[in-house]
Amino acid sequence: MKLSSIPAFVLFMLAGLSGAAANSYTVENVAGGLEHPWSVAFLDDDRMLVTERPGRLRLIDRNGLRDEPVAGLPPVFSSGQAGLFDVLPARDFQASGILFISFAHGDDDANHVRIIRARFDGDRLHDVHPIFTAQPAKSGDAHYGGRMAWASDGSLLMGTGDGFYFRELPQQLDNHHGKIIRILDDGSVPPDNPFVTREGALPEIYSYGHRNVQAIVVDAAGGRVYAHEHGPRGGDELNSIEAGGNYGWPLITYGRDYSRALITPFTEQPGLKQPLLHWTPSIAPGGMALYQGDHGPWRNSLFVAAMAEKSLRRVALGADGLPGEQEVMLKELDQRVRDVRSPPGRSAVYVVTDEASGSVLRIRPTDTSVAPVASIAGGQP
Amino acid sequence: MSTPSIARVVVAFLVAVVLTTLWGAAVQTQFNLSALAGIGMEVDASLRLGTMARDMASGFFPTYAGYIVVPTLLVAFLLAEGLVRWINGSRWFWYPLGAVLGLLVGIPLVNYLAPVALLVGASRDPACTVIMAAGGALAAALFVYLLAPGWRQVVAPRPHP
Repeated sequence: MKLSSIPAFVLFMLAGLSGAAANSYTVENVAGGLEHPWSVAFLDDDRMLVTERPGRLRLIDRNGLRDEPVAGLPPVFSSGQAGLFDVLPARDFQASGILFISFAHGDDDANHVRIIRARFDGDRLHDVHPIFTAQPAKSGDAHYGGRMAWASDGSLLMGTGDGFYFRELPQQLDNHHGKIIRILDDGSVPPDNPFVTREGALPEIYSYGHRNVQAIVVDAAGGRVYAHEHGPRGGDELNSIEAGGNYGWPLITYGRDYSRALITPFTEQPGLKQPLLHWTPSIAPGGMALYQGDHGPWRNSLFVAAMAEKSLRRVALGADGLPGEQEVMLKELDQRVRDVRSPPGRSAVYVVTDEASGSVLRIRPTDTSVAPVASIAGGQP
Repeated sequence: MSTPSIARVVVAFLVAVVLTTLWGAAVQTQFNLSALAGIGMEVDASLRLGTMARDMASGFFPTYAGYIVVPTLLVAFLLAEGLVRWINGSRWFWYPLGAVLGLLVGIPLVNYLAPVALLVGASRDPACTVIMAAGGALAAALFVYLLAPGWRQVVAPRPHP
């Protein structure tokens, strides 16, 4: 362990110990000193990759965080919310070494969210080439989405954002902004995408009417695709995604403008999908994971990272896949939580904290008898 | 020489703030609804009036008034009064001009300084900012009108010795 990381380690262990009595989990530091880490991906039992928003891909292995970033990453537009976003190993990563990486590409006047495909040899990226670039280019440095997930059929899903200044674009099918897109792993379009035959529509679009998608989780067993997105002031949404669905932004929302003005007078309209739940006031959700470990009370739960609330939320799912009670965790850390992952076969979940000196933390359950602590505000329409 | 009482100035200033804020609320509502109409929402007159009333009565009022209108009009009116006294100009000219220019600077400035991408979303459209700022002219003119009796003597030419 580096000397500089010892204070952080002590802090997290103390937080974990103090939390153990009240919260039935412990918090352990896996790696620290990361600059605004955005996403974490598990490559195998020993290695994980972490993206840092300014544009670095970092490897953590048995020896800890490697000092040198993974080489071979293309230039990243880093400004405001723009930067390096998600890293997703191919489903056959162990054999192919293929990674998919999303990031902001371009400059302040003209930029896009882009997905590249690359081969990782354990030290650097090779054979890097883009397979998707959101169109058209937009200006500014806000609302990119960027989170990816594998659909059950092996296609690749990614959420995008409305670019903030262009909030009408999510309702128009001639652009990729405010959408969930679905492509194959070579960038081609699946022939059964919902708008492939509609004239004027971009064929990669899978669903639309999103504001700023922050996570996608595929529950293959339950047959649902969950996604959540940032609302404006309130109205963060957890949605069940359906092909061709219109999720309403900005025609309907439970949020308001930052000035508290109405963005729209409506919270529901015919033909527009309602969220499974909304968080008002906003918690600013980050990543999301479906728990895949063996800790009984956490089974059938979604874990949702929350930045504004500085917490990790556990959302219990009913047998029908609908959200139920929520538990607020990690408030004692007082740090923005950007991402959460639940590797298969491990009882712990892993989070990254969105701080100038952020960390990867391991959250271990300590009590197998605890039910959800509290039902938390957050409307269910 | 007489000047308006502090109480009258405060009341006139508050009236100007309320008028500017209500104008701004109405303008940004119409821009928001027009944008929604552009993507297919049916927006009739009753929806426009109802939404405008909701915005006027909502949290937009204290947000816009507190972060933008009050500081802007305060600075603008102080500068206008200084110019009136310095170059002996007309308050009917300097106050409205100061209010409009102040809001044209104040709205983008607060948008820029706000921790969110844009405090007033409708001001994404520069035309919205311009029309919101125009409300400052009306409010400033009302401010001058309300205080005019006391001010007539303030600006009276000084007799030469």
